[in-house]
Amino acid sequence: MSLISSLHTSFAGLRNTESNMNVISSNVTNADKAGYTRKTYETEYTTTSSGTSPSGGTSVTANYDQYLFKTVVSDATEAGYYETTSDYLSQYVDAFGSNTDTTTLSSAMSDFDASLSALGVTPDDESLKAQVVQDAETLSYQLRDVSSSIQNLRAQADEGIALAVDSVNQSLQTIETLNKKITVAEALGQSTADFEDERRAALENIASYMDVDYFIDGDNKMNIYVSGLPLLDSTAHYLSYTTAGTVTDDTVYPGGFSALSLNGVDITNKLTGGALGALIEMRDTTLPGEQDKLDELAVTLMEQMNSLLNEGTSLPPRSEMIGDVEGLGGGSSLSGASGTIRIATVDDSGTIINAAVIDLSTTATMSDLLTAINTALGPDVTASLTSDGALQITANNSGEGIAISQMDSALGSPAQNFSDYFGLNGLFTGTGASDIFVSDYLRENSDYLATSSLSDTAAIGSAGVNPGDGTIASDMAEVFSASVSFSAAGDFAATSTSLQNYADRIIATAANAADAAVVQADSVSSIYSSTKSALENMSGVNVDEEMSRMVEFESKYQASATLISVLQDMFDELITAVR
Amino acid sequence: MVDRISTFSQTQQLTNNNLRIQSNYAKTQTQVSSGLKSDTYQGLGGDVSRILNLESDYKTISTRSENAQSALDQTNVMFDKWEGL
Repeated sequence: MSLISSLHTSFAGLRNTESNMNVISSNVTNADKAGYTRKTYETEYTTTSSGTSPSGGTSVTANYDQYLFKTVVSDATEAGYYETTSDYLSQYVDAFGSNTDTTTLSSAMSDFDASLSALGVTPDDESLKAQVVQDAETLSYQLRDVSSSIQNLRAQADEGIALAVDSVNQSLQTIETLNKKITVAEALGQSTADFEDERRAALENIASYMDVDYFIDGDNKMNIYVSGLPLLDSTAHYLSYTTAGTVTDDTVYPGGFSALSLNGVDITNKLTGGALGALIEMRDTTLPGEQDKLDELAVTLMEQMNSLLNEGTSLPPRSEMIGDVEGLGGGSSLSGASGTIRIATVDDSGTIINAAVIDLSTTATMSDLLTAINTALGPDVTASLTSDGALQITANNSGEGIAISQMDSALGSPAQNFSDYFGLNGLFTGTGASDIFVSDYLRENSDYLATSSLSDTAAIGSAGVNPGDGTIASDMAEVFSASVSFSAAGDFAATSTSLQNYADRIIATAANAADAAVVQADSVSSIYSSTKSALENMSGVNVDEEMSRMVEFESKYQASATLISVLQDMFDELITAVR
Repeated sequence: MVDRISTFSQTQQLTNNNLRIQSNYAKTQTQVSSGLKSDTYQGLGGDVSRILNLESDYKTISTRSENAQSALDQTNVMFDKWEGL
């Protein structure tokens, strides 16, 4: 035992205190860094026959529950899924407008119903015809608008997938780099605690996007798997995805959207959790289902309105009628056509100028039909096919137009009347909610709304079309409250209800789903934040705790310094004594 | 185990709670000032179906009432004409 030995021990104590202070300052400095865990200095002691003294050490995470972190990771996945779902469903329901808006899909439907009903009561009021056409335009616009919002949301989900893939890949790269740094630090006996903090934060980010399994191997390397496929083992395997660009209701996966692949394997349908799972579900299942429901509404609306309007004829009559159905040729078969129609030329007051009954059972092809009409009514009327293959019937004398009575005509399967089959007097054109429009001839002149009827029996020279007949408009209005059949679409089973109810049901279901998703997302997020909070409370920095540790080390440092000072005095006294 | 909290986590939790309270307060203020439970369909949740049904029923009834009035007016005109004869 010697004074030198005491000096060395005291000096080791000073250095140990400095290292502890270094860890405390690091803790205090990083207290507000997300994912930072409180470190303590783990001192190594060397014990010899002359005593024990600190001989170095490393900074380690003070207290960390790996199992609680596993729960945080799985909660992050749940929260990612429900938050994304609720975000998209909220945006979708907003596409229907708000309950304070004056025009929504529901109100457009009831306004259209109201104007048709008013026209049924006052059929000779041409301003009401204009109102009906305007309301039909508003309704078709609302359908197109919601439809376009759905496709925009799908495009947004598509871009969201690409952004999520980028974020996951960046985190994978971070973890791969950290794995290497940890290996090197462990080999050099240095602290790995800070690297591990960053690695856990990166893993939590990946977990918020996808459901992953992970483990830490014997070399303290993190390995990550998704659906049994390695995302990170000895190296990182990156995800790849390309956005589709333009998204329409025809853009579907597979085909329209690219595959989300991992090492060349398509994992699109294997990702069911996290934000990526939610985005894929939105893009491929939920939103297309909503589009299907909207299409079903639009198609049923078109069928019902067109079928009824095609029963009628307009007053004033149209001098030229061109069908919506294109692609017909002279040889196009009309086999199965039965019944008769009455075609007439009438003047603006509805007086019949010329008329003929055509027997459809004798017209096996389009050519036969054209010939029959031209023979019966030529030269007053010309029936032909347009360059697009649509039926065109033209009145050749000025001041005259075409009027058709459907009588008992039946063409096609399911059977339609003559005008409906060729789309001569349709209100709407299109194939679904995304392309439903009011027919061009009505947008140009709403007077041509075919709500009157041509008499089957009125003689030439007498009144054939009565402007006071509101039956067709009333029948069209009735459809909105009567039950019509809807096929199964989206999450709706096949049903029989009114158009208004079906439209309201689409909005109500969307609002319910969005509301439920928000509640669920709140609940899951709250669980996630409380688990995370429990983990952080256990392992994070408490500044007051660090301050008390600092005071403790400060007094220890003072004691060691005093010891060295006393030893210095003793050495001085010893030297004086020797002299 | 000694109960402990981390300063950062505690601060964040306090901030989040404050924000949530502010958000709820703002929502309630909007409800009071607008007189509406919510101005979005989502905020009305399960009540949307009933509201839409009531709105369309109200519209139908209003239309029927207007139509009946219109028919009555037309009948009166015809009656006046007939009386004039």
